[in-house]
Amino acid sequence: MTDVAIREPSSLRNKLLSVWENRWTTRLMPFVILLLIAFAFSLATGGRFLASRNLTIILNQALVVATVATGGTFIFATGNVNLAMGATTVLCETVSAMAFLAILDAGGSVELGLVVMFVISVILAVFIMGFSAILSTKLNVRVLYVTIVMMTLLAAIQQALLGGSTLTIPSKITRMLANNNVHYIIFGVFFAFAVVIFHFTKIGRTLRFIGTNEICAHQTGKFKKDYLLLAFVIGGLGMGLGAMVAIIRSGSVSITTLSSLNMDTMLAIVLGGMSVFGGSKSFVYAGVIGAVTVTALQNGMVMVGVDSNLIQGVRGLLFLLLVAAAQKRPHGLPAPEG
Amino acid sequence: MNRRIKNTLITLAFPVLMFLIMEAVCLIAAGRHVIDFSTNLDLVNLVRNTGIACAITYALSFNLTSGRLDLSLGAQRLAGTVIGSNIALALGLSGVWLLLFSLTFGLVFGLVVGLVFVWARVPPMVLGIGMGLILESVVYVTSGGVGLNLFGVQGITILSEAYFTILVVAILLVVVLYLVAYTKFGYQMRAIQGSQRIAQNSGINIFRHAVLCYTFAGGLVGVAGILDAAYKTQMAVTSGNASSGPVVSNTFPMFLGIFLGRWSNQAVGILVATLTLRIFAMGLAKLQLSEAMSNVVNMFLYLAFLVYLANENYFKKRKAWADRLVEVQEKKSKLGIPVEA
Repeated sequence: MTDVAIREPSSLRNKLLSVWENRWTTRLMPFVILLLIAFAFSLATGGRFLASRNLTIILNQALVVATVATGGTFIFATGNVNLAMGATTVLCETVSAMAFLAILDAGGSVELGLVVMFVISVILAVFIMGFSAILSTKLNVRVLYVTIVMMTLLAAIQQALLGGSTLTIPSKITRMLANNNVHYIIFGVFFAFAVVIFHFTKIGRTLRFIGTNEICAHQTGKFKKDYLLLAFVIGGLGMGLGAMVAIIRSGSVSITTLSSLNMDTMLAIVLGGMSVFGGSKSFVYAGVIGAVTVTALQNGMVMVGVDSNLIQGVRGLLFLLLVAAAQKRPHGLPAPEG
Repeated sequence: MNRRIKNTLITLAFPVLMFLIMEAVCLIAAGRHVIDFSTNLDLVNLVRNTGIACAITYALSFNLTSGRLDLSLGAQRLAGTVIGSNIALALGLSGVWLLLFSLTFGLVFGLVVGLVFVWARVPPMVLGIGMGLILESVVYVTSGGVGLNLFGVQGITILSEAYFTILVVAILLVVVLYLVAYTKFGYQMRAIQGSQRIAQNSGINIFRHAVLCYTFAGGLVGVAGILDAAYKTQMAVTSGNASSGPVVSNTFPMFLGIFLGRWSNQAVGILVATLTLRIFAMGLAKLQLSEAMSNVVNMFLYLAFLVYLANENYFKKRKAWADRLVEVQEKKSKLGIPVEA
């Protein structure tokens, strides 16, 4: 009887489920969460949270995560998780900053240094992600294992390059770039590119198809190996550009720089309303809305006076709850692919 | 040659060969021995580091062999050790009691993570990240940001003695070997490793099994944690899932251990693999490579091993495919069907 009652289309549970699983609920929920966070912290801080200065700070802080997460959605859409996004971004930041400082030391012009820095950052990130994808697609190592190794390997390379030192780009240069809104332009151009590719081309449709049903996609002639490489390369582009945005924002690089970037990016993608399993419900703005939500949450809790170590516990809890809520609960345990 | 003797010799050949290679490299490049036998310092370090890494690797193997990468193991290690040992110290206990309390609290935190996994059914890696952040936060709150401080505590030296580490590793080896090879739990584990769905359809309670795997893993990292803390006389709190670092780096000995298990079994394979890689790490240290450079070398080796593992049957498959083509062509010519060029 209970089973029949559950299957009854008009039962309250099924009505609630159909509302919850409605595509508009999925798309609007991240915005509702962001508004709720803004409302709650505005009340708790007596309106200081919504002051224009604080909102600008949140926006600037969110920009690095938003850029990396926008690229990351291409990888997530295929149902794969990349643990090396943060390490890749930071290594690109380190190498490109070293190149820039070397050019300045050699008497080169600032313009030349900036161009070289930009090119190195993007090429290195695309190379690292391409290499990771090739390890997986051509040499058959599982994506999960590749990203575990790459995460540790890239962090070790960065540590070997930097040791205990801190690289600092002269503040007048970063100020000049920031005053000319270069970081906003980088993000804006990349976001527009990502939206077009993800939502209006065959590439985006295929990536979502692969995430929805890999076997079906394969049997339709959409081969995961080719498209996974593309997803990683576009993801790499986001990481390289994210490194540039980070340099403009902070101007210095050390081994502790952006240490929580990977976690923040994953949290942003999930908070932005995207499933960790990827698929048809993936959308490219998830990374952006999620990045703003993550930063607003962090900023609000700091303003309320919550200890930073407690904030991470709250973020962990929120992360798990949202992932659990956003997915259809499987009858068995989640697939063994991790 | 008797098969058992042959397998034993192959298994033992890995650490012996690694030692000989690193000894030669160290002598040529740095004029030093991998293990300086004139003092027992190197030997004690090797035993201790192997013991700690082995416990973590056993813990990883409970879940990772079934495709579940638990990134919260490091946080469980931290929570089990810090909370368990602090409670033991508050009760006026020391020495082996710290180990027992760390083990118990490790089991409890592992159980909690397992239960959350079965309830939420989110991908294990995602669960690990979330639970890692939560547990690190819990440790910070419960220890007041101090973590575990064993400096000046009486009776803890036993925990960092080489013979004690050997004893603990021997017990872990026997327990893990028994669990994996001779119990219903072990049979179920192998069935789930084959196919979770078929295992479930054949009546195995995969949920209970997953909770047990997480629980055992939590206990093992609790043991690893207190052995490490006893030697360093402290365990600091971490944030941002930094606690997962030592665990992630031990995925290499786990994969190598499973590979070596072909000639023995998983438990022995992991122990031998851990010892082999610790000798390698000691060799790199004797070459005066920095920790970061050692990690770089280690990770490239790890990548190469994963590539080998993923393609070890490549030539066999190619040969089988070529043989099949020849067979088809012979059949066709026998039946009078024209053979395409």
